[in-house]
Amino acid sequence: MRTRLLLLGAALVVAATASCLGPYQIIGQALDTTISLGDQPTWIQATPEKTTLIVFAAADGGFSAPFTLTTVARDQSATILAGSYFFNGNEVTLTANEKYVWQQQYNLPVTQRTGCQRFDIDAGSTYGYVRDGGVITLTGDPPLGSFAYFPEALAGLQATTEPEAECVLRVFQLTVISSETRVVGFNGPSLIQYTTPATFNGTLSGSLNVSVESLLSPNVTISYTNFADFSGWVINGTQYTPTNLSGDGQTLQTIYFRMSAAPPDGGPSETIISGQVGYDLLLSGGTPSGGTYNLTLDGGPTFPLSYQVATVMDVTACVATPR
Amino acid sequence: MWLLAAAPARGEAQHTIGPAYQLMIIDTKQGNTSQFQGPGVSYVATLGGLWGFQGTFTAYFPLAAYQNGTHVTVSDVYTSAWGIDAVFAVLRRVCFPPALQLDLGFGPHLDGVAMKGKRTSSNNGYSDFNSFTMGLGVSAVLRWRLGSGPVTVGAFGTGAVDFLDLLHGGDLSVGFGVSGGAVVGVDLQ
Repeated sequence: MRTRLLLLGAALVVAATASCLGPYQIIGQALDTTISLGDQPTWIQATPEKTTLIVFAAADGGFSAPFTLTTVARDQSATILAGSYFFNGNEVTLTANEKYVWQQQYNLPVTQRTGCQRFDIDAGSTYGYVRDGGVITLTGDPPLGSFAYFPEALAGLQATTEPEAECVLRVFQLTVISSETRVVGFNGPSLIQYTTPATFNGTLSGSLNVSVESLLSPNVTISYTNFADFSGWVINGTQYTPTNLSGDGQTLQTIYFRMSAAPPDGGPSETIISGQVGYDLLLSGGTPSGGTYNLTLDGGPTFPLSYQVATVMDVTACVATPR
Repeated sequence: MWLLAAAPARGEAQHTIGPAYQLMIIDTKQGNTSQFQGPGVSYVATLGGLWGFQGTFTAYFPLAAYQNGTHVTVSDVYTSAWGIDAVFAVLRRVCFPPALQLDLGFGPHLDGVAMKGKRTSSNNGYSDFNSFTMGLGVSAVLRWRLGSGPVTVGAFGTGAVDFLDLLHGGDLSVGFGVSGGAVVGVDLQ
């Protein structure tokens, strides 16, 4: 009897230490509040430390319009602010009412990770706004700096060498990370709630569907359908991650990408770059630990790129943006 | 005139069951307050005499919830919602002759709730909510014996303060649990 009690006590202590579902969920929290905006102007700023993307939707005759401000840090951690903006002369006022956060916690066991979270906020800032051709500059305290028009910044993307392919992979990852950041609980233990699948809209178009096979077989499938968070960059395909309960396993299958933009003189959109990323990754404790991303541009060779390439989110080598 | 006395129970064990109402409040370190409440069914098992053991178990079904003061109708958001609440108490009995008996208890408390978020085709649905908190609780059962037979009727209440969550251990600030209800029971040899 005493042995049983000791075992029960030990089990409770282990369970308490594990804290296996991360922070409490929010009662009544909708999984996805995004209403796709259609193709909207996107601006990008890249530094070695972080990449920042702003989507300013067209006001469409109204006083204010939606915006998103996405920041992907060098270590992949991401923050997305979503809300509305309006212009007043040479100033733009951003009012955010949602904040998405993904803190990269690969150093922790899966059961102790926070996972992606969404918070309701009420925060606003006004910035000086100057547009000079394909560059916008936002000044204020703190200044956001200058951003290049997304299609123009990516116009030189190519993958004829391995370093170029590595940078293309990181640009591809911007959309993947942005999409995952909006999946409540993703990259954390409460991902298990998707044993009942759910669909999340892209900021601009399309959707992703996330599903987990079962509590005891936490194999995750993410399927993208014409998904776009940033102007012109669209992804399709499936990422499949079979793992055991400790997060040991693989990431497999393929996602296709295409970047297109209208030429400066108007007319239909033209493809800037397109290809696919095949996943052949190993996971250990829910953290990429080996394997490759196999990046292939349409009509080009396949580059097997180390899993470590995507762990350093610096796109300055192939994205032409003001500093 | 009331007396501390040996049990007037006719048997070694008293088993009672009845309708209940359960309220749970969870304050998180992230600054959120989650509250849910609903009806349930309680079972109280009492063993011993002047001192003994008392287990109070409630299965409940949250119907209303509040998140930071905002009301949520559980059936609108969750496909299923249920909870369990238990107090495992050391018992002290107080008797009020000729037919009243009050059993007071103090001991460990457990509460678990699982609410499965709905999925909808229009807006994709809602996140799950679950908790499994532990702490210390008190219980009180007041019984009135019907005649000289083994049957009693009465009421019960429990209160608890929780300080540990087995699912969200790092995020629980403090939890409070309260339940109450009516019971009818029988003494068994």
